[in-house]
Amino acid sequence: MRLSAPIADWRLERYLLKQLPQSELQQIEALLSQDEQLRARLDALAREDELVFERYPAAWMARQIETRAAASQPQAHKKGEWSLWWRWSPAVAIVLTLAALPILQSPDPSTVSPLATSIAPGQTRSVPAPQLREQVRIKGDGPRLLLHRIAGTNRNMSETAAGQAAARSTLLEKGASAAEGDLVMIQYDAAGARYGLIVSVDGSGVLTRHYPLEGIQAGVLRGGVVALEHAYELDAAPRWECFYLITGDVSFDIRPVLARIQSMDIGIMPPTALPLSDALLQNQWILLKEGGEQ
Amino acid sequence: MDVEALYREYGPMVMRRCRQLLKDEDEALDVMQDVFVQVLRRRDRLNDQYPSSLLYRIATNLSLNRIRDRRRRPETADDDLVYRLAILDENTLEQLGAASVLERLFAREQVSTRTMATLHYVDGLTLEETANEMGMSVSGVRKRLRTLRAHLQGLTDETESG
Repeated sequence: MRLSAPIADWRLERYLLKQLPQSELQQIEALLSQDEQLRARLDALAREDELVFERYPAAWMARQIETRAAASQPQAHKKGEWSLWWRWSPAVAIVLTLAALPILQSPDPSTVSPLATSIAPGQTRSVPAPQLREQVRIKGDGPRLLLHRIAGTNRNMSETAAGQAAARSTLLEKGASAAEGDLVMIQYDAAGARYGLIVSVDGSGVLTRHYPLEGIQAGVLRGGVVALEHAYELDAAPRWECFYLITGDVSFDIRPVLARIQSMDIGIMPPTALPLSDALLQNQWILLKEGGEQ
Repeated sequence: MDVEALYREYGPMVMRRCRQLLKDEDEALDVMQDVFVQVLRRRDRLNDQYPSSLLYRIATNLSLNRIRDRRRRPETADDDLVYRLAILDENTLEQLGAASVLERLFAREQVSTRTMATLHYVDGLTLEETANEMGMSVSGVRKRLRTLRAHLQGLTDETESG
């Protein structure tokens, strides 16, 4: 039974936090004892609190906020990013001197199996990623990938354990070292681009689609920074794993892009940027493998 | 500052506020984190008696900024008032007397009229509650809202006649 005038959501929030003057707290408590609808609203808020923490765990969220706060101090973040990247500058310079990549016939996308179904046991695998979105954003950047290494994982990890492990994830920098068995969470920041393709190629020349997992058209990108639904476990492929985010403002056929990647000469050095049409933007992210077959 | 504890206490409230205004989970999540970043920068003000008040205002303000930046009108009439409040720019607010010389000098609360109006017109807070939230006098709130209402009515008339 409702006996009182509606109490604003704002005031109910403050009641839940016990951040109202004592007289108002007592007033609401008195109402709660009589007003079923009010009790139901309060219960709903409490349930929603639990859902928020379930979906965005506190430890993980605290890290995202601290990372964002640090990233908003521009000098420190970018300096760190570049310092590691340029450690690999000799290798990059060699790669940049390579001849333009030959363009081969477009492959049938069905031969490039999606991540969730194509990975052989013991090679790479996918596990459900927690519903988390990395929140590092540097205003003015174009579309880009963000890769995280999820710590403390193993092949038989449950989804819950993956969620807990994600709270301890590490944002990888370009050129970071990675090893067989590392579980990588892939995120993208579309920066306004509407369609995209995320794909990686490893040092053995094996191509893996991450998004979209099927079809011949680029996938629709969402706003903000978005995590893919599955993390990706690195296999024993040698030397490097190169990730690409290809984006466009209109939907595009992904087959020519896949063809260009598959046509690359896979060598010791990681590949460079793909020759693509001006309508497409690309962001490349290379992880350097340690301890794999060389 | 213990960010995790801060989020545990206020995260759901901030998230709900952002969701309520933005109607988009991704954007709400994005803005919510910006709210906490701002709180970290303004941590000295967390010593207020009710920190939730500060977080709620920041969440409202940043959500309005995001709505303004979308540059598109809402799909439903219910959200139209929020939209019209959000797109009030600083020049307009200044013309309305919202930004006093001191406020501008300290670059602080320049958009408080938008937040104030949202609390009163959208959330249904009384003038007294709004004044308490904003740390202003009731007469000050009434004066600003009266001027703002006239401005919004003008905008409505222009839209309808156009």
